[in-house]
Amino acid sequence: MKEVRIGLIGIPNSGKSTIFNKLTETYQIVGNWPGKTVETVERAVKFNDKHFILIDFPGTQTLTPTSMEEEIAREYMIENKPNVIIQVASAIDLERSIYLSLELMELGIPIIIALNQFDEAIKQGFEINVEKLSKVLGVPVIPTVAMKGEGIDKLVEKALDLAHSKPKGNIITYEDIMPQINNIMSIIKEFLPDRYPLEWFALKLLEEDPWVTRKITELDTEKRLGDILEKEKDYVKKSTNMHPSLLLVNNRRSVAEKITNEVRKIKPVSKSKFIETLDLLSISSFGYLLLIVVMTTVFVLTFGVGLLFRDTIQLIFFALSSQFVFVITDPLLNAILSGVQLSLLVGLSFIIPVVFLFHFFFSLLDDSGYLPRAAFLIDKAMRKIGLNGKAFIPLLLGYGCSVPACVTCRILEGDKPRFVTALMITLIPCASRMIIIYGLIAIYIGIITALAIYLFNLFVVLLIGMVVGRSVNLNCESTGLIMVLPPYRVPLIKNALRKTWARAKDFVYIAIPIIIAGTVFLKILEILGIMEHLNLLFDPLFLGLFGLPGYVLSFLLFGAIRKEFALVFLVTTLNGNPLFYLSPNQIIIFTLITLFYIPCVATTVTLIKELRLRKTLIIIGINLLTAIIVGSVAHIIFLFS
Amino acid sequence: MNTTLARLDKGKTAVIKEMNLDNNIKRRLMALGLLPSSFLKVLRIAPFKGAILIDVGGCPLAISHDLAEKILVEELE
Ligand SMILES: Nc1nc2c(ncn2[C@@H]2O[C@H](COP(=O)(O)OP(=O)(O)OP(=O)(O)O)[C@@H](O)[C@H]2O)c(=O)[nH]1
Ligand SMILES: [Mg+2]
Repeated sequence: MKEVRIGLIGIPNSGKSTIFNKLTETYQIVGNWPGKTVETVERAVKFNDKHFILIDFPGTQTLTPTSMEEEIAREYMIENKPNVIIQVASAIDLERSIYLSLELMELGIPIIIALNQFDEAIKQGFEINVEKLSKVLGVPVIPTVAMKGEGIDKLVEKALDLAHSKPKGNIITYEDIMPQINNIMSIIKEFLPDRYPLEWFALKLLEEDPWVTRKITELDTEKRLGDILEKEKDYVKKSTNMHPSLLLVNNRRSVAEKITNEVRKIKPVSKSKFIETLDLLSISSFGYLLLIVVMTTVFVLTFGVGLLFRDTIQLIFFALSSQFVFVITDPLLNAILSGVQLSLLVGLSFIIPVVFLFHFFFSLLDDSGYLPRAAFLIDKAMRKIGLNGKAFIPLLLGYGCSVPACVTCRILEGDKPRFVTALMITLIPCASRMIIIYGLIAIYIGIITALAIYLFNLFVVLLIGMVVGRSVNLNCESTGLIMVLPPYRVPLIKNALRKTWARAKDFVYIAIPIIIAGTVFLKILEILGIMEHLNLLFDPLFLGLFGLPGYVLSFLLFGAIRKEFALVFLVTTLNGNPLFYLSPNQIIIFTLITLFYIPCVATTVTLIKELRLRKTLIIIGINLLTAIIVGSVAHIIFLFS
Repeated sequence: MNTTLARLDKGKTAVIKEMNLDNNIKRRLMALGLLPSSFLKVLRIAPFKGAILIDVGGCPLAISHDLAEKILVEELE
């Protein structure tokens, strides 16, 4: 017998991934802003001796997508139909959750509702009559508190029971237009395969859903539908004075509102003064200052605590390595050993502290609910570029890693906004580039200069966003911000640590081994004298343009694999202290170039997947050009100052 | 008094009259609870005539200023 497939579907930020993580013991990113999950994930689960497959879906506000992650979720629901839907509803956003319930019921799949974030609803004074809700909708409703695992056992048991039952079916009757719906149904029934929900397809045709319309055109090889659809739509328009799509939304909407009022009572409660004040401050004019303070604090804490760690780690490292002094005469073996030693030192003292600290502080921020507020605050400025506030979220994520940030661009409406935002993300210093800023600027020049570099970078990113945005006519396609604002939540250290590990583990598993191998490789090249040839070849170009020695090219090439390599191999090749070989000005120029010059391999692969080759090449071109301009202008400025 | 959502002050309540937006955006806003005849309250306005946070259906919704300009409302006392 095939295993039961259970889908977790719900409005954004309702707690789907929290439930998924609880049941699968895997980790999908959880945080407090809408749009974290942007891809469907299936995992096998063994739960109280029962086996089933659980699917985590991206959040869907409605089943008529406006952005890519909703499209992905919706298509998956229809094409890879789960046997049961667990609708993860939000008890603090009941009306919108019920709206989605009504839509999901049209799919003809058995449904059970997890009324999640039930604890918060109580805190906010929402009294929800769960039994009544279940009775009105005709589906089981289980109150849950996902992080604490409350109600999850019962939820899964009931869901498994439902797997082989008949779906409840639609509870809305679109009375005025039933003849039209029936007519369309009777026609498409002849060619629509059984696995597709018939009534839902008919409704979506009336709603002019692009994907469904395309699908039907493909299937309707004999053109049976012909102009009947248009006629029916015209009829609806004339008889109800409303566009059919708006009419359907309106119907569901009023039912959702009616049910909500029936089952929910609102009691006045006294809210936490602290949270209230914070909320007020974070989105007032003071909020801009707060945004700067918050981001600066994250960087200063990371660099400051990182420096502390570095000293301790280096002390321990030297103490340990002085225990193992070998006299080795073979130059090759010597190169290998010193390479390994040096790269371990660099890995432990430069990379690990910075990456872990940054992701930890950022995770706290992202769990608190601050990101969507920053998006709200910055919306006006983003509208000037032609984007909207939502784009600020992937941009902020870009300070962590460009790869997930570019994937998160799926939450934006439209291809152009996605392209421009992705371009800006590639120019933002991710954690890898933060290691470079830390390892070269914060350590050898100072934290203030490091912050100034971030500020300068931001200026360049905005400038390029604006110029490119103008030249692709971003305004025409971009829509304004429409976003449900989640409440502030107190971040849990445990969750933040888990997320930190999920985001930083690549540095341990992937970066460090490559660094060791790469350092040894470079040491060997050095012994063989190949480096000198390279240097001679590129010296004229690099000296002329940037005032840098030609050998930095090899570091930049490594940096294209992973950005932090540019720093690591610079340091290991220059035997620990770049200041012996490069002047502070040269160090600044080199750092500036590494910020902009090229998206790393992983980012490039992601960009090709998300935006296709052509746009990726354009992005790479803009990156290169920016690096050359910034690097040579900085060189000229330093020459004359 | 008839005005647009963008011109309402913080703390004001209003009822929506008309939305001069294209169907896709209108459909989304309607699904989120913003449709002719629904009541709303302005919770916050971001500085410099920025985005507007409104209470509709019991959970706050943020929308851009330029969208709000196209939503006609009747202000309630
Ligand atoms: N108080 C409370 N918070 C919850 C509960 N369930 C989830 N959360 C919080 O809600 C936020 C969103 O949780 P996620 O699991 O990431 O939500 P999601 O539905 O997967 O979100 P998207 O993937 O963005 O659609 C996180 O901050 C969770 O900690 C709950 O039952 N009670
Ligand atoms: Mg999720």
